Amino acid sequence: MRMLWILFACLICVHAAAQTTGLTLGQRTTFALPANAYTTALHVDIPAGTTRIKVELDNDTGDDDLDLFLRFGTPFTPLNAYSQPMSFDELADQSHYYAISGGDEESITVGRANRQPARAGRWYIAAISFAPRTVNARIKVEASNEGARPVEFVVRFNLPADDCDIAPWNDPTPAAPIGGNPGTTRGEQRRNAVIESLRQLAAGFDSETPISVRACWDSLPADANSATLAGAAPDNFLFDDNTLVAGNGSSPRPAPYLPHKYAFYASAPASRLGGAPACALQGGSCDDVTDMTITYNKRIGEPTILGGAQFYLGYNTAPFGSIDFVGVSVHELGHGLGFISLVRTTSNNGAVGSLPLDRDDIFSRQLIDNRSMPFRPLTQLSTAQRADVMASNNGLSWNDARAVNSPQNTPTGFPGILMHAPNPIQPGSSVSHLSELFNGQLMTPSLNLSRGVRQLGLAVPMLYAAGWDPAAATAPSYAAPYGGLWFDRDRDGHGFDFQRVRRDASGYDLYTLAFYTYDAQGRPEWYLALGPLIDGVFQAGLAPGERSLLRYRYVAPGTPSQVVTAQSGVIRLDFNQAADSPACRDGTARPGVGTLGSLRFTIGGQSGAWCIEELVPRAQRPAGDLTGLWYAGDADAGWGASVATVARSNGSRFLFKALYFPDATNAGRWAYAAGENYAPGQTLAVFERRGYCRSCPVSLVDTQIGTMTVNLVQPVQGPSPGNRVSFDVTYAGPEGGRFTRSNAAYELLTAPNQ
Amino acid sequence: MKPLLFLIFGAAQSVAASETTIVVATQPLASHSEKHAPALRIERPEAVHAMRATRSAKGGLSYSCDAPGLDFRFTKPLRPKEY
Repeated sequence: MRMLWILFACLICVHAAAQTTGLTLGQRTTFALPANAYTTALHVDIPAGTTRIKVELDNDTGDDDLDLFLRFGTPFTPLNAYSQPMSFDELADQSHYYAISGGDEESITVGRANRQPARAGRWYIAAISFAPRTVNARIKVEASNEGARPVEFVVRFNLPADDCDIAPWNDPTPAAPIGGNPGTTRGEQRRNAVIESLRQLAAGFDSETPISVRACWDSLPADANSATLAGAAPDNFLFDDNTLVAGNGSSPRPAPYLPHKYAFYASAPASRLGGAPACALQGGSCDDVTDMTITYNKRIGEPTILGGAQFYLGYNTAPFGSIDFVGVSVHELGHGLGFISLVRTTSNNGAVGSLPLDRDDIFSRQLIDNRSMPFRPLTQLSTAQRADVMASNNGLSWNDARAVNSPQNTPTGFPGILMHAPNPIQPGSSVSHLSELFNGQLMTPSLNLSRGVRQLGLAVPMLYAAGWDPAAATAPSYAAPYGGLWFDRDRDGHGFDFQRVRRDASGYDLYTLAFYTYDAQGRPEWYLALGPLIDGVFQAGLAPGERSLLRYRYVAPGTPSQVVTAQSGVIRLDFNQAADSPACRDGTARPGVGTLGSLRFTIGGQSGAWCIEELVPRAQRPAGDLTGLWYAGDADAGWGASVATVARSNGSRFLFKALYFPDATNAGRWAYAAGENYAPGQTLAVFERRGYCRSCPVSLVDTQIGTMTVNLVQPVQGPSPGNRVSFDVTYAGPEGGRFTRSNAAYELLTAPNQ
Repeated sequence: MKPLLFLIFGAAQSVAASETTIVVATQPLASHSEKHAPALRIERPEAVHAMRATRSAKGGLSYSCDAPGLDFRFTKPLRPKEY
């Protein structure tokens, strides 16, 4: 198996330790970046007491596309696991923060409340240039011990579109200052009123990154007695979920700056958490990308609409009969900040109660069905159950303690914070508002009871859970999986051997993953991947041919096997918060399960997202554990085996072995042997398993295809004279192919699991 | 100790304002690098969360936040992955 040959070669040839150059705080540093090139060779040492770090990158040679990546503590790898140049996605995968707009000015600002908080230590920096020529990139890092900054809003009154008329912002009609608004034209007063609304909205929130708001006017529904005044929402939602796959096999880029995976965050808190503006998180031009949009109805004020009622542009309470511009604005912009559920309240695009793309949003994750104990999280209910609680009147509550314990949470007699859940469901109103019982709060569905209220009140601590928590963050810890066999209990017979190989030059544990599975006809096949485990994510490297889950073709003993790119795929395995992944929330009971992994693969244009768990928990590992990936050394590369041993209560060991070998066409096949009371020299029957494709119903048929004598005595990495194996197997499929070895030297390729 | 630390720290920033040039190791970006992985975007319906005013017979206005057409749809390049 060239895989093993490659693996072993990489153990030896892994690139030299990353050499990085330290930047001086506060000093602008210039360095050359060739065309379409990157560097991972920068770092900056941040002193103790730092609460804010700002990194800025630009260049002075033209309007080129530069991108900036930042991570704490450990370096970016200069090359991938196959010693190939890094791709954009691989650098993004390793980042804690990034700024990747389409322009040449990128900036990342990290405060004490960001997920990887500003703190002392070494921060590593990578940069990419997509310019077609060498550019002189300039970088500057500043650190300070400032307190958290109140959120700053940048209002864009100048982004016209078909549904965004900006003329009313510049209406030159003279106007007398009113209610604290000093504007002297109607347009100026409107702009002032928006700015005042945002000033009020900002109360209680901080952000190291400005939040952008697009302000528009449009003709919205209106008649004599009813009219839409204004509407607002986030411009986008971001999430950290690579288990969605596009038609080309790619996934959304990671968003490691979001504290909770597999949940949509509104753009504004995502920008705050990401330390970069929306355009720098999403990509594209920064000219017209904003976090949220508010649109006012330009028909308000017409004589036939609402009796000719006008927007009141003063900052104080609107007089009777006029429309409270500021109050309406703050409420709607509150939705833009993330006070919004994505659970469907209409059946326009899916059933009422369903989740877009079957994914949670971070707002809805805080909601519970309070009608029975223990409270059931809204997002973990079925669609019908969600629809039921959404129309329960008093059954839907917010459950996050930061808000529940707020003095603004006045008692309602119901658990948590009671939310708006009328029967029947009110589209656009249900779920995304406080109960009407919260008299005087701005985020109730009706403003009638909160006239003159200008700030979000109870909604402020509620939004802490949706990305606005001002508390200093604790640096995250990442999952540390074990080396061994993993499986998805819904896909019995398929499995993964995930093993640590060694520590690489950048300080990461290098892992290999063998996927033993079945093709569309149920024939056994296997794939291999290799990459570092970084922050609890197996980042399988892309081999030449741009695949990370490799299918090999045997050539001859001692000759490296060949990667069959057309049959290879891609894979990613994430052990962080996997229990929240859609794959692990599949309705399958996993009582007593230990570490979970969310695994995504694409093979042959088809993708799967599986929830995998340890096959042999650590507690069941015996002394002298032989678990690992074994092969016969470079001189006889091209075949090998996954081995696992299990401690039995009587002190004996159970041994399982998946043998990887070629058929007559040199395609990789696998078979297995297993036996109780393992003892060196034991002979076991070898079975070929005809299984089921990765999306087919379970079907397994075993056929004995030979025997194997296993003589494994020492779980040490590298050659050990006592470890031997003999086998004689004949692939049972039409391809056929006898494959034998007699007393072959065997060595543990991966790190011992002791 | 902390104030002193920041005194030194602050001073270091103030004297380090000049520019400098360094040489760093670079690599050609992997040829298959595709910067713009599919971004997930909502398709904004006409009405998002919207405040509606209703006029009473006496000319008073009541406000309610709703949006009968509210729903968030997502652009199609992404789909839940099912093998």
